[in-house]
Amino acid sequence: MKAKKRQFLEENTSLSLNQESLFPSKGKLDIDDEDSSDESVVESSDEEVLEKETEYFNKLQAKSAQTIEKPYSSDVDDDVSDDEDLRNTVGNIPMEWYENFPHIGYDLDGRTISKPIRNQDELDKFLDKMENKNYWRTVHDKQTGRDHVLTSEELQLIQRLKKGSFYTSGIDPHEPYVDFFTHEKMIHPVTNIPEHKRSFTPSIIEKRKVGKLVHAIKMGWLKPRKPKTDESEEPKFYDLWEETESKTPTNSELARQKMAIPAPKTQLPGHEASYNPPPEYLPSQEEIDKWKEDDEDERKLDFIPEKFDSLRQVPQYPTFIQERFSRCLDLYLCPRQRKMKVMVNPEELIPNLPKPKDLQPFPTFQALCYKGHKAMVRTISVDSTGQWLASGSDDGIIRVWEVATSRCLREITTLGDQPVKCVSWCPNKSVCLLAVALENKIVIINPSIGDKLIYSATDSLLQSFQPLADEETTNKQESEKSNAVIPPWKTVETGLPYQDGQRLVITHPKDVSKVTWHAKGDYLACVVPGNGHAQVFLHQLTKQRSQTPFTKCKGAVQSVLFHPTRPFLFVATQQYVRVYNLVKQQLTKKLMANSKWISSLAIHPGGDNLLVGSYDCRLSWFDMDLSTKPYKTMRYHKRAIRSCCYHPKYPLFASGGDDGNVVVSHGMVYSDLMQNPLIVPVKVLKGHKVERNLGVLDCCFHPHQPWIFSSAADKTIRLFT
Amino acid sequence: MAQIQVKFFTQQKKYEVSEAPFSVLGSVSGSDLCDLINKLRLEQDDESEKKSFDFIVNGEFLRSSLLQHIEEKGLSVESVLPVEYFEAKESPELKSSLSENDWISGIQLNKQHILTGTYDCSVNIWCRNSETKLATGLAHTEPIKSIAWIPSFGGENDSNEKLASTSQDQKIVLWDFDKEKNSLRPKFSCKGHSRSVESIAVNSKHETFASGSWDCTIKLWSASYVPEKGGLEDEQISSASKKKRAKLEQTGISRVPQMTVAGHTEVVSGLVWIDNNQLCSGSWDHTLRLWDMSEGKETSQLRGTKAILSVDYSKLNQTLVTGNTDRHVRLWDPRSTGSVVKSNLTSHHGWVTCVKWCKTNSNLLVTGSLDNLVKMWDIRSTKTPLFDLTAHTDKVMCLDWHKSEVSKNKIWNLFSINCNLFIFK
Repeated sequence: MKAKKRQFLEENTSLSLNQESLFPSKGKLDIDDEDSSDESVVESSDEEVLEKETEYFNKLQAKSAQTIEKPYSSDVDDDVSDDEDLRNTVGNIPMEWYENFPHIGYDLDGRTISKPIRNQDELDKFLDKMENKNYWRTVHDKQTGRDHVLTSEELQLIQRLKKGSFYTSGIDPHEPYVDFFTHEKMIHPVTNIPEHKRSFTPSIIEKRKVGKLVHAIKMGWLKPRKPKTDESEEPKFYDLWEETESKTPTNSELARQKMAIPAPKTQLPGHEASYNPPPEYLPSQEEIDKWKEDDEDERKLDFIPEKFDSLRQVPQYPTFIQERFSRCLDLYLCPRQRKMKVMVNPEELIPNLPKPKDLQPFPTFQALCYKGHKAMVRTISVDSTGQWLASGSDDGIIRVWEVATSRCLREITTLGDQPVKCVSWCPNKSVCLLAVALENKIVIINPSIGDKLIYSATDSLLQSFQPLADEETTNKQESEKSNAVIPPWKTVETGLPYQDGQRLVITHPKDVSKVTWHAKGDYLACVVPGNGHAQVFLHQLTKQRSQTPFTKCKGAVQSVLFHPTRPFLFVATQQYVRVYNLVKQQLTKKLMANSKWISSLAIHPGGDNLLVGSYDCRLSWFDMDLSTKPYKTMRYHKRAIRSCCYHPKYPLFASGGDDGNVVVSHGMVYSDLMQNPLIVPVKVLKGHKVERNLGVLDCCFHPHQPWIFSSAADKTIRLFT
Repeated sequence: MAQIQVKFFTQQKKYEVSEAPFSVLGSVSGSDLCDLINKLRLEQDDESEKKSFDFIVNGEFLRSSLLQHIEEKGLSVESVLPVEYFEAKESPELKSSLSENDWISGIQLNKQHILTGTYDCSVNIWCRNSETKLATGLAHTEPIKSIAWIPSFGGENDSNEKLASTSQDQKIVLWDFDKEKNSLRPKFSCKGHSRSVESIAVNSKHETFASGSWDCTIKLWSASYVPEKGGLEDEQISSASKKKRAKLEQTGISRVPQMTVAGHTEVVSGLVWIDNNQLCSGSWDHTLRLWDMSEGKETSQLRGTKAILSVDYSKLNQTLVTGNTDRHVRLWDPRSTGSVVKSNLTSHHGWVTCVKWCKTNSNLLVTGSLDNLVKMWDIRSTKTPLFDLTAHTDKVMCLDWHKSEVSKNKIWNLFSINCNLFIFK
């Protein structure tokens, strides 16, 4: 009992203490909230401090109007009310509300409290501040509207509140604690009174309570607690596979599974990490110095291998934390971006083409070099038997060579000194004629070579020509109709030009750049580049007449070509190849060459495939049954392609370019229409020198053998076999 | 290194050494073995000179190391290896050179003279000893393509020599060369080909000759210098007026072919008689054809893959040799058919324009090529020739050579396109 009493007492005292400390602690809290900067100003002059304190006090008063009202509230308020005997009853309202009224509130009796007359201007305020000694301790009370000079007790109180100490000055919170009960264990009882007898007898009340409980149990009113069932103790089994089968993962789960990136692997420790590494792993002094100088990222090892006599002597690993930390960085800074890798074997990208050596025969090496021309050889042509080669050079000389020995057999010099643009053998085997384009003329030459019977027959054939009167008139009519200049034909009959082989001269309005024969050898087509409509001329040898097939030409014509078997004429402008049907006199096809400037044309002897070379290094193969766009475009030349050609018998084609190379390719055309042509590049033939940025100017195949001739700007013609 | 047991033997009696087997290292080359033979000879005879030898193992020249050679041939290293040796031939030296006015297209030797045909349409005869030009014949209007002597049975005693020349003017002219007067006169003008005549071959009985042309035919002509009696030729002489007779003197009496055989699809570039009736022709159409000229029928065909430029046949080893446009020299057996090549001689870098067998040695042949080289081959060594002759500065167009057994001297007449004729000895 005594113990209980003591405890109660203790509790009470602590309560009273708390009550005392309640207000200051609260005030302190408010102060902290309002203005915490005050604490920072510690070492300033007393006056300043006090000034600030008065300001603070004003604020405090405004804030804690309610606390002032409370009955147990501080003595300060009591003092104020006592002193003035004036209490404003408006309550805790902003005093601005009374700004426009003559009174400031109501006293306890309900009378108005009139505002004190304060007509101080700023100057008065300043003078007051300067002269009044008590100015610093004067506080304006908004509730009453009067100034109040703080007493020294009040100031002390404020200071105490600021310090956070107790409201009253006499309390020492840290006074030494005196135990009420001693903590020492006593061997003697506090009182010496022996225990009372009844403290030894059982309690009757307890006995009755127990009796009631026993009776309730006996009557079955009170049941003992049920023991815990065994069910909870039984082990639980889960169907491991149940969820996986029934539940399909959501997209996000799938994405996470996909994105799972395994942790970067750490390197396994090697011999150098051993506490007793083999001597070759131990670094020398130089290596250690270098290791220390090196940047951390450059080091091969993170540590210096050291040798210890026993595992016991191995010290703690000094950079353990750093290493673990960097490992954690490795794990969580591991880039979460998935790299999309496509595994492509570069060899698989290469089309499966047969080996060049399985595609024999094709020209492989230079066999002969035909030297003799003094200027670059712009054009060459092989006759249909394959025994003679004609070539024309820039100094206006035409030479006829024996193919097998590179012997020059004829030299035709009477054409002038303008460049020979084009030479072409007549494909008709029963005549021996060479068409030459130079300046604005086409000269038909009989070089008198080969079979005597044939070349004499050719001459007599040309001489026996008798122009018909009707034709001349029709010619004139035509020319009048089409307003075009029909080129005049002139027969050379005597003199040096005749001895040199010249037979016929066709004069055109402008320079002729290209001449080509029809496969039967009667018609000639030639290109007269210019802006007008008359860019293409057709000449018929047997009737000695000419015509301009097109009334209008779009673009600058680069080249013309006859179809080998059908009445088609190919006309190449800079970007397009147009195919005209000469019988129906209409445009049948327009091929887009996919290049800027076409340089040459060649047609497959089968007639369905066309080769187009261009100055922008491209060689395009057109399958005319397939499309009007190239079936294949090849870029084997580094510089402009000057000429291209097909072999008349072997599945070969070639192109010669300004890089001085001739590229020979295997181009097999199958009779099966379903199968696309097989194109395999087989050989790059080098040998020609590049002069003045010009390389191979013309190339053509031997009609029977897998040989190719090429003429170049280095004044030579070469035969590759 | 493997030790190999070798046994040396030779057919040249004066260089014989003991037949006891030797054990040599596998890495030894021909020069090492040569030193060994020279040492052995010194042991036998103190006064023997040092000579250089060539070695033949299993029918082929030893050019690499012995072990390599054995591995290539698939021989056994265990058994004793017989090695034949003989004195190495010395490289012939340039003796002199003769100059023509134009490219030389054909050359042939006989005992006393050198016959040349040139691109300036002339046929020339040179003396072999004095190396001077004896006579020039002008009857062609186009360059000469090939020439041939027509030996007469009278031999050297005969005062006249006969020869034939073919030309691009489609004619073959039979000439008569008077040795005493040094005059060359056309006797017959054989007309029939419609293109230039590229090759000629005279029958072994000297009665007929065959010619191959760009018109793809082979024509057989009579080589007789007696005008055919009661025929066209006789008529020409009898019916000719004085003027015409003078013209005949210049051009020769016209003659027509006895027979024409066609089959080739390209120019017939090489012709050679195998025996009196059988003719072999090589063409740019890649085939070698054998003809029975008594009946004018093709008997068999050998098919190659490259154009053939020249053909020759050796009676000693019954083998045909062809020069091809793909830089190889090929050996063929005329009895076989199809495309079986006996062996390939590979060393040239250009077209092989001319090939010629040795008439006395079954193993030797000479080839000339557009790569300016003339090579002499032993057919037992296919990879490397015996010698390279490098006097030429331009394409070799034709050659002839003759090896006389009596004097042990070889005379080579080699012809370059740039008008020079080189003589090697």
